[in-house]
Amino acid sequence: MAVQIKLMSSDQAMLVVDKEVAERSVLIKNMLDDIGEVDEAIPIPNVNEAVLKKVIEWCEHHKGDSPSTNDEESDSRKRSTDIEEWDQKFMQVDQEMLFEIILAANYLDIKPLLDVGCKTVANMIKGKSPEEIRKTFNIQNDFTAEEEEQIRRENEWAEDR
Amino acid sequence: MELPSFILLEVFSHLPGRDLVVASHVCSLWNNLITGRRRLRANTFVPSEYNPNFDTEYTELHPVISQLHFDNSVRSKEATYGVRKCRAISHDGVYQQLATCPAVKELRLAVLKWQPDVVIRNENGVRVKDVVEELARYKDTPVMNSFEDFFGKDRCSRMGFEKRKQMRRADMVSSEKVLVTFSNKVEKIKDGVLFKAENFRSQQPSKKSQKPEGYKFWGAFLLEA
Repeated sequence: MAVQIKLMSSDQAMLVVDKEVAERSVLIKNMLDDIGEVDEAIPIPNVNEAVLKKVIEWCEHHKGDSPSTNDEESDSRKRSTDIEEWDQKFMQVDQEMLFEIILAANYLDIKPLLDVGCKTVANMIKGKSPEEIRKTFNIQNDFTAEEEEQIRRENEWAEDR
Repeated sequence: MELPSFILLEVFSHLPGRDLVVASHVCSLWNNLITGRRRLRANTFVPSEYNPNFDTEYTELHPVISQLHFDNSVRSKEATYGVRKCRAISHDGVYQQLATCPAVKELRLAVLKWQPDVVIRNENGVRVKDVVEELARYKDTPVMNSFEDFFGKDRCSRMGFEKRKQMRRADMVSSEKVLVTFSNKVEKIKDGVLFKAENFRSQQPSKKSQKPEGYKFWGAFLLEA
């Protein structure tokens, strides 16, 4: 039987997961390497139960993935916003949850999940106008009239193709 | 709920140039993040056709070009351009990116006093590649002076220059590695713009690493082309 460990979310919920699954998180893996076997639950103070469950769901699905061969500067990784189908479905959540997942992935140091999250946000920006982007993310336009004018010109350049 | 800046930068790194330009117009935070990061900023100089109707009131020079670097000790093919940090940009196809934003048909760089401007033309918009190649030619062009005419006899002896040898333009900035930065004040010319070199900054190898700071950028471009 697979070794299991316990995780304690910020709202004090206990989740039991396979060690192999939890170790998709570099943070948890390092912690386990440091302290060895533990019976007590590992506290994850920055992540609530709902988000932690989502993250674990992702880790479960991707537990068989080869350990990330991620080449930091690899073009394909950086430049492409292709997301595999399962991940796309996984990321179909409200924006609040999407951001929470990204922050959790960052905190727990799960690079591939962080990537998928950032790509998802990038896809929400792609092909939109600045106004549409503001609406999507509820951002205030805080430019002065002067800056706005300069931006209008630059936009012509960006869109006139 | 908002994403912190370092996450936003990660998001922006997945955007192609056109969307990056648009994103920089969303709000001042996004604008600062995108225009402040050289790597992201380089992405805004996306390939585009020259647009003759565009009013070039605001022209920006590709950040990589302001990393221009003269070094007469190195032959042009393996010569010198930019700093190591920029190497990453070269992988993102900087070579094919526009040299200016917006695109121009003609770009002039006033690099050396008393010497003609570097003139770069491309009907479809001047690209970084055009600039780098033209600069390599410019740098290696012989001038009328010999070393003796220019530096005088004494200095030649002191510096170990061959007195009779004809100089190239690169020799005029002396034997140090020199970074050239261009002024943001731009003069408009027909279908193009003129940038003036603002200062020459001598770059010494950093003492800590004992290695030169890595001025192989130009060379990297030429090899990839």
